[in-house]
This record gives sequence, structure tokens and C-alpha cells, in this order.
Amino acid sequence: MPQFPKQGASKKQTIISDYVIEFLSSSFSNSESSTFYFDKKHSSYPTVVLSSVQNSGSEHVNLFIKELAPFGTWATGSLTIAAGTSNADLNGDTFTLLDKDSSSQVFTFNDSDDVVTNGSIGLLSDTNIFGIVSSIKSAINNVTTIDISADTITQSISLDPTSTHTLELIQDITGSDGNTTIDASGVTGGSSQNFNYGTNYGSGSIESSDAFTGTVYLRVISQKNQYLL
Amino acid sequence: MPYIRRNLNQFRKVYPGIRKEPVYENIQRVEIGRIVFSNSNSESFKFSNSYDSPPIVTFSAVGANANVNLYCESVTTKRATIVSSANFTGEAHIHVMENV
Repeated sequence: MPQFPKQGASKKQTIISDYVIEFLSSSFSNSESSTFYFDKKHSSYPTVVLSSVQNSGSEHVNLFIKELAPFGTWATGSLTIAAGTSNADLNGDTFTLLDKDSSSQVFTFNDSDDVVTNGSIGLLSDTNIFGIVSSIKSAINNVTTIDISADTITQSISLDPTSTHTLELIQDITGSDGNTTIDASGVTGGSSQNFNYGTNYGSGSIESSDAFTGTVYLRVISQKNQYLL
Repeated sequence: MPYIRRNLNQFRKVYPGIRKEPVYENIQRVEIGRIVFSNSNSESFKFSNSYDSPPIVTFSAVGANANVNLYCESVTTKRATIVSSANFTGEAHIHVMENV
């Protein structure tokens, strides 16, 4: 079976500065999985090994690395409008989105027109929740002052445009700075999930054969010269 | 009588006419790598460096279905053989460090 680097491949001599090395830890709290985040940028696919495990109990577990994503990820959040919310309920309500660079945009509902630019969410022609959420999506995507995009609309009841709808929001630029808050407390029938899962250099996950409590220490090494791996 | 001269301060560094190859002292040899398991339970990793004695090998299983127990069956100066408790498809990430 193949190995990387390949057997017998000609290889120039490498020195320590040719490598990106970091030491990470990841905690388990009576769980079977845990996530760790890279602190450094790995231009090539890193190799990750478990260097030690500190277990607070007596559990005997088998650990393995389930997933590696050594690249920055976009933070995602969501905005939800509950079933039964009317255009009149929302008229004049506002919410604010904050992007990775701390640029913000206030969005204001308006039930007297269909304008969906410059932060206005016109609801005049919307006849159900799907229409309202579609207007929110258009309003967000029409704004150029913040680096946030509105993406998928999910219905709580399939093919029911009057059911609760959730709009997925994505930061346009990767990084943990994109893990900002979404405050929908001023939106009647609205709720939100803050932006999360944005990372600067990517992440990985460790899986355990059984739930346990402890800390796993990892050593991560990659080579700057990608062709070597 | 005129003579040829040059201002040495105009030069950041003066290199000798004959440049020599750098000579490095190896403190500790290190290498990293991956080996692929494809529904198998034993694979070997051939080292790129030359070691005077079997190096220290650290490895971990990586993959969505890599819930197996890996152990090193043998380490020589040329290769390490990694064995799994069961067949699986995934990778083993390996860090090799010279035993100094």
C-alpha cells in the first residue's frame, strides 16, 4: 500500500525550519468525541499523532483521529421566523448582523413596500413565512457593507410555506473572528443561533471507543515544502 | 600615477571568490509520513533517512472508520511495520525521531 512520501523518492535534506510543528490538546468531558483547532497554518496536509492521554478516571478507551480539515472555515449561524408570524407583527422590527471585520448592518422590516436594499426588508407582497424569509435572504445578500451571505432556507414542515423557517447565514471570510453574535430579540417571532465554527487554520476531531473524561495531547507536523509529502 | 580603487562600503557583503558548500551537523533526524491502509491490517513505512539504530516511531490511526488498535510490530533502521487489530480503511500518521 502507498506511503507518503513515496519509498525511494529523491529528497533533499530537510532541517527543522522546513517543518511546521505545533502541540495541541483536546478535552473530553464524559464524551466520545472532541474537537481540536490548529493554531498554525499548514500549507501541506499535516500528520497528527496522539502524544499522550491524561485520563481522570480508570476508563480504558481506544482513540483515533476521525477527521482532519487543515484549512480555515467559515462561521455559520441562522435566523428563524416562527410559524404564525405576520407581516404586521414584524413591521418596524430590527436585527443587526456583524461580520468578521466588525462591520455591522441593521436590517429593518417594512410591510408597506417590497424594497430589499440598504438594510430594508420589504414584506408587502409576502403572504407566508417562506415569503418573509425569502425577503430577509434577498435583503442580506443585497447588502455590500458586510461580508455575510444568506444561504439555505429550511422548513420545519416539508413543503409547508406557513411553517417555521430557518435561514442559514454564512460569513464570507474564514476565521474565528467571524464567530459573532446575532441578536434577534427585537424580531417578533424571531430567534437566532450565533455564528459558530469559524476557524483560522482548520480543525480536526478525535473519536473515542467509549465516553470518558480527560485530555488528549497531540503533536502536529507538516512540511512547508508540500511536494515532499 | 593613477590606480584602480573601489569603495568597500558600497558592498553589503563580500563573498570569497570560491564559495563552499555549507557543512551541517545533524543533531537529530526527524521525518514524518503517512501510510494507507486499504482494508488491511499490516503495512510498512520505509524511512527516508538513514539511522544508526532503530528510531522512535509514534503513530495514530486516522479515518472515519479507524476505530482500531494500532501497534508497531517491528522497527528496524530501515522501516517500521504497523499492525492493526482488525482490517480497516484509513491512514496511519507517523512521526519518526532519531534515538539520540
